[in-house]
Amino acid sequence: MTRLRVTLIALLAVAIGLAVGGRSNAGFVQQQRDQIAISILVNVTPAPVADRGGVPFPIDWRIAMRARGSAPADMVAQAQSAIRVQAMVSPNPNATMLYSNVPNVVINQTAGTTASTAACVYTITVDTPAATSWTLKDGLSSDFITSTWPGKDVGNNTYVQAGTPQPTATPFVVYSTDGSTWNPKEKSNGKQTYCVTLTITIPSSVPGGAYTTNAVYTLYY
Amino acid sequence: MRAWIGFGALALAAMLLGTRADAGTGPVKVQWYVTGILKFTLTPNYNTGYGPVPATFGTQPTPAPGAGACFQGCADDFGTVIQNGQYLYKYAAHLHVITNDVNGFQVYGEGSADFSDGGSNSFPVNGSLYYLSSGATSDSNTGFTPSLEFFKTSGTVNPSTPVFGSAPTITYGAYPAPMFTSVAATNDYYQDYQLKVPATAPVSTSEYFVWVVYTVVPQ
Repeated sequence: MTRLRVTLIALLAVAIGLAVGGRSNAGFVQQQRDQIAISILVNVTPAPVADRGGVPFPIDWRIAMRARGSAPADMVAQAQSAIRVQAMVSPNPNATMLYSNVPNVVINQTAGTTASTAACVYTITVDTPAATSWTLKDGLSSDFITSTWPGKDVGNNTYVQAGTPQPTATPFVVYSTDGSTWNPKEKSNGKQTYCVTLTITIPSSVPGGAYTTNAVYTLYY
Repeated sequence: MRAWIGFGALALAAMLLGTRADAGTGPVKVQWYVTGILKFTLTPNYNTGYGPVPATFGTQPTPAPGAGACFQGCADDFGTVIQNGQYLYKYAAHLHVITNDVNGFQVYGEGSADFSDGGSNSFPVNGSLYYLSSGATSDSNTGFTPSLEFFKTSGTVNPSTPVFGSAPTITYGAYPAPMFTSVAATNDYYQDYQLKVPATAPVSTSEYFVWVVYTVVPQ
């Protein structure tokens, strides 16, 4: 009899817990309201290599260079053509709900190095009614180079613009390789502006060139 | 023409040498010119399924081009976009280049101006319009796929204020960084565009436009 009573009480407690928990979860379900992306362009200078001495041009190069040397003077200089790109811009009442101060960030860096951008290289502003509690999630859309230069090599130091930077930068999650999820970065309400400083590590194996990804910010409330 | 002149000169030299076969032998310098060939074809909306989609992850919406777009021609028309909106334009441009230059060629692509509604409203082309590689017949890009931005040219644009109805030209004193460098004499490039409308882009009842000018130069 006592055992039955204990069991019933336990079941009742679980039921109450589920009911209360379910109600509170329902109260905190947030929906995606807006999403923006800041393009990150990294111009990579190749890692320096030791001078192995003067290596002569291959013979076929020299033949090609001689052929070019005798190239005609009347070679067609250039050809040009154009495409018109057009759009009608309409108002967006929510255009200022989530925005950045710049559309993109350009970083020039040498392979095999780690460096930080200027402090507060871009800002992210959330501007909702004061009573609105929101969550701002972040992440990169993709790696720079799959498997050899992951997006996790980009760290972000995100802090309230009026405050002080975090002690260290934390790696971005990468949506395309981290289970299609974003990282809950900030929780607040009303209007808030964050500074972001980036720290980027470029593996020495990365060839010179231009590489891009997007820092994506998604607002939920 | 030059090749024929060269051939005639050779024939004449051969005849003269033939009449004086007893005069001995000697080196003959042969020269010829090859006329340069550069053919560039630019095709907007080059594949079915062209047009803009809003930037989103996951399942992609069906493209809905504006009225100014048409299959394999016309303009890349994003239709109606909203301030602070981000879009992908699928199958925006196909560049087909043929040269006979053994060193290949370079391609430059720039905005002839900022986006303009033909009146007093404008917004910058850099930071707004981007390009990225696409496929000839398939396209897995989204509005968040990494891309590179177009810049407003620093060359001389004619007419200096581009008009909606006719393509301007750009005269370069110095070329910008190339969009593509081809070591092959013939090549194809397929591009999508992305549009990131500034939150501050003025709303206008007129169409915003910019001419993207591509220039191909043999190396």
